[in-house]
Amino acid sequence: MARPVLTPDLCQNIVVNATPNQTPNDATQNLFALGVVDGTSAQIHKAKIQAALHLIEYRIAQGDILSGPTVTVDSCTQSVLASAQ
Amino acid sequence: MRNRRLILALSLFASLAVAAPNLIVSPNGTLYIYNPDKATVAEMADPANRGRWTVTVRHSAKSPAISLPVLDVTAHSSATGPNYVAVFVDTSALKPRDPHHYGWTVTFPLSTGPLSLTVPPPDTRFFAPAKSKDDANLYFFGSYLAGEGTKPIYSIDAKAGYIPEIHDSGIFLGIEAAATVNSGSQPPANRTRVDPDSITADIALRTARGNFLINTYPARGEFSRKNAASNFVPSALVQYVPRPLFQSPRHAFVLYETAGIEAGMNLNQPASVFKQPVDFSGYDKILRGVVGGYAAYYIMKKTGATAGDPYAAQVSLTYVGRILATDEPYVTSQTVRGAQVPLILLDDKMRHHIDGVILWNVSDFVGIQAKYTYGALPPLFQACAHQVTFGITFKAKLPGHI
Repeated sequence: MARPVLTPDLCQNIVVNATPNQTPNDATQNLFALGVVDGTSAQIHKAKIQAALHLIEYRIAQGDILSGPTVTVDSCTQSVLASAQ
Repeated sequence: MRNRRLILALSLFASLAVAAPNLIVSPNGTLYIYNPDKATVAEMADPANRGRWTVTVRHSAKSPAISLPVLDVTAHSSATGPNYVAVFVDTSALKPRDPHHYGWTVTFPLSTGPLSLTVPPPDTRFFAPAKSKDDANLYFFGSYLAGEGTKPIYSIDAKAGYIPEIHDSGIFLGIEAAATVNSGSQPPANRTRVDPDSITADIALRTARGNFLINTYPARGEFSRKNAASNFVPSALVQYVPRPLFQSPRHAFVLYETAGIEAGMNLNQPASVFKQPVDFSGYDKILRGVVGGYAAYYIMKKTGATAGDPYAAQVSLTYVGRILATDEPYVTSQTVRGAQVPLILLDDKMRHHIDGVILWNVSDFVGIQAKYTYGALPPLFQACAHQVTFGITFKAKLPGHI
């Protein structure tokens, strides 16, 4: 797959699709509402974001991804956009 | 006067609630200004103002600034999507091309005052400050303990681990250790002795695939310091992490199941346990099947939730069952003529262990935690019958200046 331009909208889709509930996008919603309710589900969420980025030929360390019950979709998206390479 | 105070309070709250603009540099070199002031978005995206933008990069704090031409500026606004102003720049002058190797400064003379946003150059020192605290974990819990058939004693649980990711591979490798002091005290306990009776130390290798967390411990030791027993038991565990079984905006109930295997050997056998001579001559190879589960009910805080303190209340239960393929010790007690005396066995019956936690943040300052433990842990599988510990947490932040 060709490497697409990484835009905020693409990053937000990746972030939301990696959550357990995958409910419609809302940038201000916290990830708890989307099913990332604790540290264990945050680990899975980060791994899924990393895997989705690998598929489109981007790399990111899981430690650079902000995730967890109190993190908003927007904050998580920004961390992905700022750290993906 | 009262209304003025209310208006002042509301405006202060509004000013705190509105996030300040921040600059994100994408891997393609496009700059995204998040949380722009809505009143100034049109001014920023106006093509007539394109020449008023200045974008400079620096490879390091001491290197000269390179000015980059701005090609276009667009504004994006959506009810559900991200809101931002995108600044497209010509990055052909950058060598290396990766924009994350540079520090960025963006300025624009807004009519309401100059806008200046920066992203600092990357810290290339070997011992740079950690970006997140995910890698390093320290845990310490001290408590007052009251249990069945025992006088109250003190209990200390301590855990430490450092398991960083290998580059961006999704594979984590590190070390961790845990020590428990007096958690399985032999009744009756008349005093508190700071002497860890359950210690584990391991090299951990972790990764995730789909909804599965895979934890392998290629080297793992189990120790009981009181009775000089130790095992070398590498293990592999898989945890299934499905979506919450119940979910609302502030409540969630989860159930994660675990299965795995522990296989190794006994390294060191005690000649006596609690002053009773024992014969563990058949205790050599170790093979255990492990089944378990983690169930938890979380209630998020209405306000003031932080990454380290997200819940108003939390109830969780962890079960680990070990199915033994070989005989292993089991230390319990029995009543003989009204006195509790140790009973030491060597058998292959299934070993159970349950940990329960109730955490309630009564207020922003005070939290109550109750822990329940039942069962036995390796290496000696010293039985712990219905142990309850209570803890009170007081949290307060002092002013940064006086």
